[in-house]
Amino acid sequence: MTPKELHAATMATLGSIIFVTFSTIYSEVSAPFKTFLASTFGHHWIAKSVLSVVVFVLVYYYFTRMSKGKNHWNAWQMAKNVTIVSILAGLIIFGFYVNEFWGG
Amino acid sequence: MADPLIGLHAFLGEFAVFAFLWVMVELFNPNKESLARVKIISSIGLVFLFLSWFVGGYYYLNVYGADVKPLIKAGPQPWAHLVFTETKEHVFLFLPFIGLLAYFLIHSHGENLVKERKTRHAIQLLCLMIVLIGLSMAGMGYLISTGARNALEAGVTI
Repeated sequence: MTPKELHAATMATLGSIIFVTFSTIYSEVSAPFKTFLASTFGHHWIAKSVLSVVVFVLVYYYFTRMSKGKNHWNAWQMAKNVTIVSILAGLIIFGFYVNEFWGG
Repeated sequence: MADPLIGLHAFLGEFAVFAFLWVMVELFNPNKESLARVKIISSIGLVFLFLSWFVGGYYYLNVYGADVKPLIKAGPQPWAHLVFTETKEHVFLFLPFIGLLAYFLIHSHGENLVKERKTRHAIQLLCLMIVLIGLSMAGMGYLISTGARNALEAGVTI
């Protein structure tokens, strides 16, 4: 893969993680959204799984075909970004459910 | 008896974690031979992550939702489902994408990784994330099965 494609794959990874986090929380606070996901895909978790792949492909496509430049990239910086976003996203999801159960 | 699918899901997930741990260790002091191993092991790890996703998903949708979830929710530890299953089923979805990114990095740089220290460290960081998230999946799986066992011991029936 070229540096531009690796940059696109990193952005796609970040996009999918952010999408999963957003859709997880939004589907808990918005019953119509959860119903829409479940009725369209058969189950809300299947919806999030399929759509996270769709987001990955779309973001990858956007950054490889549509965006200009990025012919060199910093692998270490990108890995740090993925790590920070993953940790924060995981804590947000866990914190949300902890608050839902114990937060009253 | 526990459903065999949950055992298969755990087996695939744990071996994916071991595979990326192996990749991380190999990259501390790589050479041509170890990088050839890294390519193979990362491929196996990635395949196992995706298989764990599909097997775990099938179990979650067809067995857990009907038989285990109502049991845990009616038992003495409903938080096992309401906090830990809910977290596990969503945070798991990060893993295939991080694994795919690590795979792309490894297979794009090939033998150049011997010289590219920063790229090696980037891959190691991604592998570490897979290992840590993967181990947290195992820990949450333990809490979930404890919730189900305690519900059965408390005489809960569904």
